[in-house]
Amino acid sequence: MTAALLLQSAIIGISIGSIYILMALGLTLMFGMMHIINFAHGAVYMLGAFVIYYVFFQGGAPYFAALVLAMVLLGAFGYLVERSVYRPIKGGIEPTLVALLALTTFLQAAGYPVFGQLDKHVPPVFAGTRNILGVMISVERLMIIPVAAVLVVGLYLFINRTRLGAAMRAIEQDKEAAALQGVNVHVVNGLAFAIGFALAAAAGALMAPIFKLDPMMGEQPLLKAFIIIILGGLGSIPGAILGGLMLGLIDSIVATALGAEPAFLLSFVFIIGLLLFRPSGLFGHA
Amino acid sequence: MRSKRSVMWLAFLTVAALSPFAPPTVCAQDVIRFGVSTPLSGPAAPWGIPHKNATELIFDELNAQGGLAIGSKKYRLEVVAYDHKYVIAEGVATVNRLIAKDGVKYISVLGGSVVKAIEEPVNESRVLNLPLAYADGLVSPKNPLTFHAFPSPPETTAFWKWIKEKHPQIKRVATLSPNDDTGWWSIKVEAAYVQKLGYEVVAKEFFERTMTDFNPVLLRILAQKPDIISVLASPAGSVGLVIKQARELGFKGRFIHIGQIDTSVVANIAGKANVEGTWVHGYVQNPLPEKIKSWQARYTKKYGEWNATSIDFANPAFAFVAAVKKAQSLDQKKIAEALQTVEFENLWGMAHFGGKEYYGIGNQILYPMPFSEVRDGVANLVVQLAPPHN
Amino acid sequence: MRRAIVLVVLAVLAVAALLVPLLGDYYIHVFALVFINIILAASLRPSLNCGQLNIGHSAFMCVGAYTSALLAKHYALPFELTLLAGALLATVVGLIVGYPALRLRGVYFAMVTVAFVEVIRLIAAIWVPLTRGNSGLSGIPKPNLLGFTLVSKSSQYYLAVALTAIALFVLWRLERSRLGLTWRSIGLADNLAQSLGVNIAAHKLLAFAVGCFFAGVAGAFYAHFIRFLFPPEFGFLVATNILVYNFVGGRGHFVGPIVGATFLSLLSEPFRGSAYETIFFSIAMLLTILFLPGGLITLPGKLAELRWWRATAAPTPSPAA
Repeated sequence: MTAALLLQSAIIGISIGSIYILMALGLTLMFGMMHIINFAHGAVYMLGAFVIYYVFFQGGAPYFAALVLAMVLLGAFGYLVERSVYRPIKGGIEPTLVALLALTTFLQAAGYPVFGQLDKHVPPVFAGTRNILGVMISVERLMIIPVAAVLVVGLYLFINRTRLGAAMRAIEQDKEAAALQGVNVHVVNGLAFAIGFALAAAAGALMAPIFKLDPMMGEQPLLKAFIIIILGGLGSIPGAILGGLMLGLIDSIVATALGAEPAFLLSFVFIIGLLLFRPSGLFGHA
Repeated sequence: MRSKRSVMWLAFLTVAALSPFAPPTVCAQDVIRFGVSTPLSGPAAPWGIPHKNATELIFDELNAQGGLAIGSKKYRLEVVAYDHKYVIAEGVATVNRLIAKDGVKYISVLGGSVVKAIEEPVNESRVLNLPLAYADGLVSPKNPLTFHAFPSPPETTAFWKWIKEKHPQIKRVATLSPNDDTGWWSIKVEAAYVQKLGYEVVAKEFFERTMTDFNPVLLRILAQKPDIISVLASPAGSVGLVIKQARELGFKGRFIHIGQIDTSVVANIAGKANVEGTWVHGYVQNPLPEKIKSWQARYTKKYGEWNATSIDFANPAFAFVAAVKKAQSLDQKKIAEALQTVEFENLWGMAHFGGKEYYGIGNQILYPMPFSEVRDGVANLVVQLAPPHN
Repeated sequence: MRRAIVLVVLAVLAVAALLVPLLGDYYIHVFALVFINIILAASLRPSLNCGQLNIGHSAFMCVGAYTSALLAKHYALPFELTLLAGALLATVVGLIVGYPALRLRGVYFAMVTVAFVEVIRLIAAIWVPLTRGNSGLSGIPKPNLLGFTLVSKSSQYYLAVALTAIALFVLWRLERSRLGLTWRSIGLADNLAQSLGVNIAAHKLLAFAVGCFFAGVAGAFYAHFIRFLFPPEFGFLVATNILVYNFVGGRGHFVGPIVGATFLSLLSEPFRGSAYETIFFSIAMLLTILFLPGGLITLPGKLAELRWWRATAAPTPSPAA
């Protein structure tokens, strides 16, 4: 594998990694606070992409407005899910997981009659390709990086500089103590759902012009996000960021060298090993 | 008391759960049911939808004229169609359903790997199959009731002779196909043929059907600097992404698909400018002979929009109807015998089944094959070639 | 009440076992698959009882299926041997994965199982010379049991019924034994159990291994019944189905997974090949989780309660002073 090929796959990997980071952030936030793995994340990613299809492509609205709309709509959906699915199930973790699984299966299956049987495509927002350090990359893919960065920084500021963010951190550390301090755990949980869903929607919306849209499109990003949050440490935001970059990079390079399925296999084997010997991942709390 | 109630409720639930399984009401006597298992959703839907539609259109037109006459009786033709999403397990399940539940004796299945998977059940239940599929050993003496209704790589590779003559500057060929039976056989045949013609095959890559990010595999291919990339056997959805991403990576050469692809779908995905110069078999938008113009009008009238793939994918229905007329029987074996000798009209001219010397059995459809080049987003017919074997 | 449920379920199964072959090949096919799902769902129960959320059960079905299929196809070994080989290999693989994973609790264990099921699927997909990858393995011979090839679908159906009966019997006895009691105690309060001298690790491993064995059995039968294996069929989504059968049926009783597997398998079959196949399946899942958290087996109880509420006059006066 030549140096040029390596560099090319690396840059592409960072671009894809940025998308995975957005998926992983929501997942890790929700895990940190409520100890659940949101299996519905892939479906939300898919819905975010379809919002772009209908509002930006068919509707003619400006792309970034559609992106914000996707985030707001699916964030609201997230809050709704917390209220109607998560909260009523007092049975604990397993029924919640199964309920989220059911939700995702339903959304994906309903996608076919609602959105149609054929794959859909959104034309690129930014046309053209650029030559960076001898590497050809489409502008569309390049633009993902700054947009994702803005969202990540926004999340960081929210978590660390606002009262609500402080409330989230408090719940993450000790739910009962936070409640005793006057934090409305239910509302803040709902907010976590909303933020997680909004980020997943943003990921889908950013991907929409790059690949294709179909109701099952969220399945693979979900599995990749799982890998990232384990790599980075369940519940850790810096872990999700670093993990996302690492997976994007390594995945791309290994896939170019060996093929996509072997790359996937290796990443799963790697995290099994990680889970067995260092479950806290890079930055997580055990 | 409570237990009795609960017993009743559980019994009720059981009956309710089983009720969708009530055997279908007895159908009218004079109906011929023809099964279609094809991808109606997903990246291969651009193949499956016209497959189903063309079959239904031909049958509808025949029914409007009174139906298919066998002896003194007239039969109505009916299509029973299922979506297998190009997932092999669904393909097996839907064909099983067609044969065992719907009791059909004649089917048309699209998709090489699906057809391979159902080979044994189809042979065992002696069902007549008119597939649209590329798979090694599909047309062979061990599948006497399988008649492939569409030109395969052994026939369509003849186009490469035309390319060699008209575009001698093309020397390096790369291939990219689905990583299953369909792709493996297609590339085996195509690579062997082009190498014999003197081309250099610089890369042979395969992709999983669910893949959307082709960058890794394209980087490997482009590192070998091909002049042309063959995407034989790949569905339109995937080809669109391949072309789009290849252009993003700087590839300036041509693409070729001597299987069949809906280039309007591809152009939609990849962008019109990017598909310029692509060669394809079995898909022509312009010019259309009068006979096809009429078909176009009828198809558009019934389905609201035109689909040029339907021209070639009407073959199974044309062949079936012609064979039943000749055999004057509903027995699969007799219809199969008729298929081996019947000459019938399809939309491109006269067709028949042959290829005995190549396949060992004359069950491959043969007719003058159309090849097009995409110019300004439109597939233009450049040549019609006679099949290389009889 | 519980007795009634068990009797009803047994009765329904017996009826299905005896009468379905009269309905023709299509129904035989559907119900044979139901029985396979019953074995899968019931065999997951010991692990769930121990408190281990296993979302990777289909991986062991996959191992059993391919082992049995390849041994029969290439070495013409009889079904009783290939079945055993498949089940044993599935168990061995389960032990290899389960042993180190035991220390993990809750979500971490679940994540390992998710990763593992994808690993197995990917190995089956990539190892093309052995499994023919995503083209699928075809040409698997029909079950050759004790010298007789089971040619007809009904004979294969009876084999499925027999295997299910054996599996359910073994699992039932285990659950009602002291071992089963220990499992449940671990699931409820493992620290407490440990303080009483229970070797949690060994017991969890045993529950896991038992599950893997029967998953392998189900897989082996599946291979010779459908006679075609395709790696994506054994992936993450399918594994979640097995978990769902348990939850929708009901975690509280042995027949829960049987009810769940039967109900959900039958629900999706009429819609096969259409878009609505999965929709009804998922709606059933959602409704059950939200409104019947105990699963379908609590339905008669809930309905009876409703009736009870309606009765304005209580049969006996409340024991008020």
